[in-house]
Amino acid sequence: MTSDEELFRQWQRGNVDAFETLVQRYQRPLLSHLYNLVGSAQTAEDLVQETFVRLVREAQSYRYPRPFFPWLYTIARNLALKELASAYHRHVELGMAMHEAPTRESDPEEALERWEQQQDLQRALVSLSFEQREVLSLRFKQELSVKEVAELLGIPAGTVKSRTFQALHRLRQYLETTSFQGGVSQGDHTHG
Amino acid sequence: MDNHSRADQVPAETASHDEPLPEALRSVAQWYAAQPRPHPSPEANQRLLARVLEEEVTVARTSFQARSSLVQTVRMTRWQLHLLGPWFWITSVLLLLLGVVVAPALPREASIPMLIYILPLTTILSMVYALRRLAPGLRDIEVSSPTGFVEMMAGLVLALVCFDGLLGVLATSAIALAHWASFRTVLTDWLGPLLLLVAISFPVALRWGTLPAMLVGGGPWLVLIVLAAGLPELLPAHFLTGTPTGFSLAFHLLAAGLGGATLLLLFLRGFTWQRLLVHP
Repeated sequence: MTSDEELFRQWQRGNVDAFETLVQRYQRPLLSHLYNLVGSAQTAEDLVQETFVRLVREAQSYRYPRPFFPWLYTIARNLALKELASAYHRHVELGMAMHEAPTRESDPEEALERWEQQQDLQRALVSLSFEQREVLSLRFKQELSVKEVAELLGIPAGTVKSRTFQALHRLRQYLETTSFQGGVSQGDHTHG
Repeated sequence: MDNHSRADQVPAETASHDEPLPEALRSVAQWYAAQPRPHPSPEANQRLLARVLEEEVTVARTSFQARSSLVQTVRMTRWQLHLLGPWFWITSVLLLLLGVVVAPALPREASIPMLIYILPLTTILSMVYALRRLAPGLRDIEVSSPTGFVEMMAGLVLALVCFDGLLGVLATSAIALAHWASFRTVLTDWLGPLLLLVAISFPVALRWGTLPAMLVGGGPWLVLIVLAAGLPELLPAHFLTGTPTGFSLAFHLLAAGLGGATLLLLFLRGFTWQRLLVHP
């Protein structure tokens, strides 16, 4: 498989397909990551778009073989932070997707269940700091190792571990004290 | 939301294999990893690519070096061809392949005029479709940075002309082989009108829109087709029939030269007529 760095270089040289491959490769994980950071699917989608636009804007500064993945995620992170700060100043509550309608699925009951799960997750994530949400997302949604997360964020591996533990502990506390405590076991049951 | 995310297939232990978690926290991590994720729709994907194109155009236009580069114009053209979508190309190829298969099977007096009538019209319609689909977004950019738009669109039109021309050559070869017709005569009979009509209707499309362009490019051609079919005595002998005559060959070569030169000029020096051609 062609590396991200090689694809970006090809795009710089005029290969349109190379950029589309990068989009296909990262649009979905980036959307998932940003969603976990800002808590709104619509905002996350806008941020994904803005992230790729920034890539284009900054393309001239890219020098092969600078690692592409950390660059991409750093841009996305900065945009998410900016969006959250802006939302704070606008007194808009992000991190809660209560108003977002459930998606269309063949089974309405399943759709509703999924939507409720999403609400549970968002309520729980609101109790975490940005840094904790970020580490959780990178570790368990993006499936990066502690070392990879540490390199990506530029922090010691020990900090990644402590943030992970703190975040999971806090999530657990939150889940235990709320009515959807069964959500954890339900998740285990469904996917275990 | 995506109901079939990777988390559904990969247990959380795999994600955290380098970091053994206590049992209680592991179940929380599993629960977290198993939550559904948002999934980008195809429309979102298209919007993203279109937005990236816009940004690339903007970046290119703010850079003098990029603006003056032919390579950059070609690059922009490739983006636009890409954004036309696969179905545009699949449909075009299928239609022309149908022509290649059907035309030789028809009698000579029907197949050659059919090819000559249809190819220029097809190209005009392709151009109108492409401009309608891509121009509005690019026009917005035009307001803020009026450079290079004509070159880019001319590049797109030239690419469509080359594509239709290539398929036309295939169809002409098939007809020439099937009916022992003169390849050169049939080729010039459709190539001349094709290039001239496109060269006339393209600036009209830029300045006044695609509907007037379709009327200006396709209207007179349709009238000629009707005349050639219904009242052939009103047209010069052997006009649009693929019959080799000195007059028709000269006429069509002249038309092809004029049309091709105009399109090339717009592609290479479109910026000169930018303010005149682009719709205010």
